[in-house]
Amino acid sequence: MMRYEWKKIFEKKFNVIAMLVGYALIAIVVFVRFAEENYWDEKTQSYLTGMEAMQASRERAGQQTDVISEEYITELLKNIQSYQLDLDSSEAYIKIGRPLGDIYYFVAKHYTDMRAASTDLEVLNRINLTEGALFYEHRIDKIRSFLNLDYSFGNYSEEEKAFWLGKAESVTIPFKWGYKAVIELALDCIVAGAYLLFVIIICVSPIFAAEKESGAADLLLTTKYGKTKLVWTKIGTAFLFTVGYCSVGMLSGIAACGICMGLSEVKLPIQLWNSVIPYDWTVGWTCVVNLGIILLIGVAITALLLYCSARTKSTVITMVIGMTVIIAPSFFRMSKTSGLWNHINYLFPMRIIDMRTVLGAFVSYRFGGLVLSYLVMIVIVYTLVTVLSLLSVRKSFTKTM
Amino acid sequence: MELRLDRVTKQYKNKIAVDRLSAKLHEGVYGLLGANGAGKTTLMRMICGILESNSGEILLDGEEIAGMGERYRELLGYLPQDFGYYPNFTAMDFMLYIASLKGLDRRYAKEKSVELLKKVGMEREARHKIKTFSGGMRQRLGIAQTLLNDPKILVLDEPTAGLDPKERVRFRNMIADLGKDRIVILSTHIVSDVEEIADWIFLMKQGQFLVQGTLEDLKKHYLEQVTAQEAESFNLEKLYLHYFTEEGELDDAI
Repeated sequence: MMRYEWKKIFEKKFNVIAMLVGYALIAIVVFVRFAEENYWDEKTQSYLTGMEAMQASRERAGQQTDVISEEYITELLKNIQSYQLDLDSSEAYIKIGRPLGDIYYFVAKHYTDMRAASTDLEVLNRINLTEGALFYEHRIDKIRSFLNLDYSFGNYSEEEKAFWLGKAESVTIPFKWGYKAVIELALDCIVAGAYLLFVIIICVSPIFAAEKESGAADLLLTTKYGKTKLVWTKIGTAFLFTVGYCSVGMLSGIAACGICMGLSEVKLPIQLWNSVIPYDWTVGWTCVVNLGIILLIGVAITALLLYCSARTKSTVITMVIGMTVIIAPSFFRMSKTSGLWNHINYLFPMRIIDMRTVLGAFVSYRFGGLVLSYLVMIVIVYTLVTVLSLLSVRKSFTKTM
Repeated sequence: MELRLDRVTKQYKNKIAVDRLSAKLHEGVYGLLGANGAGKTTLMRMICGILESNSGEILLDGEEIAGMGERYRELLGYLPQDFGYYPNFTAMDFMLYIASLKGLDRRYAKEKSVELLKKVGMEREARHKIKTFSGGMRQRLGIAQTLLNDPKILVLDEPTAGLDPKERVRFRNMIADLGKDRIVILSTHIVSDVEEIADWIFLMKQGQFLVQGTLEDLKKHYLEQVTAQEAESFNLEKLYLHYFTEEGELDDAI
């Protein structure tokens, strides 16, 4: 039975074109990211690009240090401060930023205030090094200050502060250091996988609605399995399609990165993206979780689409609902006064597709004394959407006015 | 086997589509004759379990069909009016798909599909895509799928629509043959379709059975209401016109 459901999806030219366009997007992401990578080669006094640049950057990171130790950072900062340059100037970039590469920006971001929109390079000149860099102490102080700030939309409760500080302090230190751009590219491929959801909308929306639109539903519903196995087969096909299509797209991107550059840095800590992230995860595990979250969003959107498809009996209306659910919330602004609205707003699909943002957001949901992290809440909400939608699909499809 | 309708009613907001219909059906061919909008399709969809009645019940051998689920549907063959086919499926794909929904074993389904496509004169088109078929060919394919599970209750909504006269005669004979050991309910507004093959005829109007019976019963009923001159040239078509055109309801009834 499922074979014919696949046939219905794959024999529509529009579906196939949409699928290919989706995969082309992933290919473009990989290509552009490789192409835009560059590295200043002192010997030849020229920029290396693409894979050559990545290889050179990887070697440089390997030579810099294995771990982000207090001693290493202290020496690094002393070195930077010794130039006595305006760190936002071109001269500083040429003399300090360009040769140091990623670690320069990593350390600058570490000492920049959490609410700042961009990294403040000049902060590196202002650090008092009499007692050393106090790198990890600063990390906890920075998180504590962030949690203790006054917010117009509501402050963190004591439970939430304790929750986040506890998590932040449980992170293994010192951080390992290495070249993260390849794994970052792999993560970009996973994040780009979220855009494959638009293809899912195109292919899944007709699954029930088209049967109603064409009148075939009347015939199907009178067959032995028309109200039972058929419904579950359609649901199963839709889920398999979503998971399969998105996984193939994302994993192909990761595979391309692996084949070209290797993925030897999977064990680097996630804090190399943002040192305040309060999760003791490697970048490899973060990729796995990110992939899982994108698939969870895909499954939830699919379930919602199936419900709408069965309920509205219109492919077009279902597509519009699906597109709206994904696109519209991207334009919703965060409130300056309503914490409740912000907490709802955080949960819309396009806000949760990148774990680098989610894990470092310090968003939590409090229910009485219970504090749930942003990530746990995402899993709960999208699982609920899936289950509730599925519970109504069969009834909506088999019910005829 | 007895299919019993007991005061079956279907109401849409202010319109009563089927109004307290009662009947007992056994093996044989039953013709539902009525103008468009008389409630024929609604009644058939209720018999097939697609629609639920607002009141009354439909029972098969004393058991309400709504509670029988798959046990009832596996006895059923249904040809809806103007239903959508899958344009990119071949005739054989379509037959096998419906066979899988009817729970048939794949090997048996293949054999049965070949046999039925041959029966409806489509063996050569088995591997052709449905989008290349004419309306008549689609209708023949639709009729073939109804027989896949050797149904005990066959419900055919306008089965001869789109068929040319030769095919129509062929299907009348096929339906008459099928009615020997099963309940066949067919709706049409083409009088000659039921006149020749129906064992029992229901004339439907505004959701009710206006008259019902064998052709002889209907003739008797008709003769009671017309002049001797009109009675001499009786046929079902005249009876139909007698009941339906007096209010200008039906011009396409012939």
